Amino acid sequence: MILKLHTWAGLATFVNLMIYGIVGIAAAFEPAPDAPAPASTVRIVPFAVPPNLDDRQVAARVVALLGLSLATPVQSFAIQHDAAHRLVLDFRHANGRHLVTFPDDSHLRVEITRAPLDRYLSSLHVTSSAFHIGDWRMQVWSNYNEFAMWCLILMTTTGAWLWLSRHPRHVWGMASFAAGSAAFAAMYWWTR
Amino acid sequence: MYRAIRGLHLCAGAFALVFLAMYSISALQMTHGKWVHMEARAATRDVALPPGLSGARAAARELAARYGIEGELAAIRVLPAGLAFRVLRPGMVWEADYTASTGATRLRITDTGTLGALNRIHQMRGVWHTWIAYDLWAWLLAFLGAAILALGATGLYLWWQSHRDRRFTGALLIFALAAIGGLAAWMRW
Repeated sequence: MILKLHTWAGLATFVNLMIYGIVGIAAAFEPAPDAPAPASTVRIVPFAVPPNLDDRQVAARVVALLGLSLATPVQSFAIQHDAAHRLVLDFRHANGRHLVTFPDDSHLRVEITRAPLDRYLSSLHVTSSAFHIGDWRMQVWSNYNEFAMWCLILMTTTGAWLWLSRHPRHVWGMASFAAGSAAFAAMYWWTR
Repeated sequence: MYRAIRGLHLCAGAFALVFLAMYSISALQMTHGKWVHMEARAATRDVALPPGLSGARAAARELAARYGIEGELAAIRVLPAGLAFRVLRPGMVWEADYTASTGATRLRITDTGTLGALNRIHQMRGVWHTWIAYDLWAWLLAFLGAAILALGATGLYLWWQSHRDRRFTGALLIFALAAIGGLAAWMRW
């Protein structure tokens, strides 16, 4: 039964597990904070600002127009103003960033920065059921990722149990455990 | 072949065990902070550094040499009276205000304990830090990422070899690949 649980958990969350591994590797190669920002593209989109709408309502209209469901619900920090008190909408989402300004009354200027694939996967790996996102796909993903987190905990405990109950004297297993534990303990002791 | 792959699966899992426990605890803390609650303890401490230091790196070197406070240098600001900077370690922050004319330095110390340390280690990234220990953590966690991929690949092989009736387990995998993987691809589209 323990082996079945271990296998089922691994198969059901295989995609999440692979994403965790890729994100762990990619994190080491993340550029420094002062590295040049990724290239962005600019689009000019027709958009008439309707009268009598507040900033949040305008932001909601812009999100709908641009199809930015991953940026919903619109967060307060996305609604900003420049030095001249003109509205600036800074939508950050799993796929990158849409920076929206209003050059005139009938157009939007949209500066689009697409997140690299590893940053996208990193965004996916941090979501959980604690997130409340307007996009149903991301909400489903978040709930499933929460499930995957519990499955990983289950696999860790059942994996340890399977090792100790079936192959307790596996020399390479013991050596690997000693190496991993020693590496963690040494780094923790040094850096803490 | 089967025994070798099973051995590899076991070794990758045994090596990763402590790290996976760290990931599990810190992930629970980040997603369910009410259950696994991280508390911060704050304190202040006044220390003396040589006056006239012109840069945060020099001030941080003095902090390390005189008081053993060593870590990642961050959030450097040049102030009219001197410098402000932070020295970071997993779970610890020393926020320093250095007065150049006298060398007097006030440290605001925040300690978030073991949970805070695990939280920081979980989020360690990049190999461009001023403190080499942070780079080593990032390399080590990258190796862990490779171990997780190895666990997935070898686990898949072991499942395929050891299950003759794969109707239920195969359906689980197809669901994971098609529905969950498809969802991830769709959102990226």
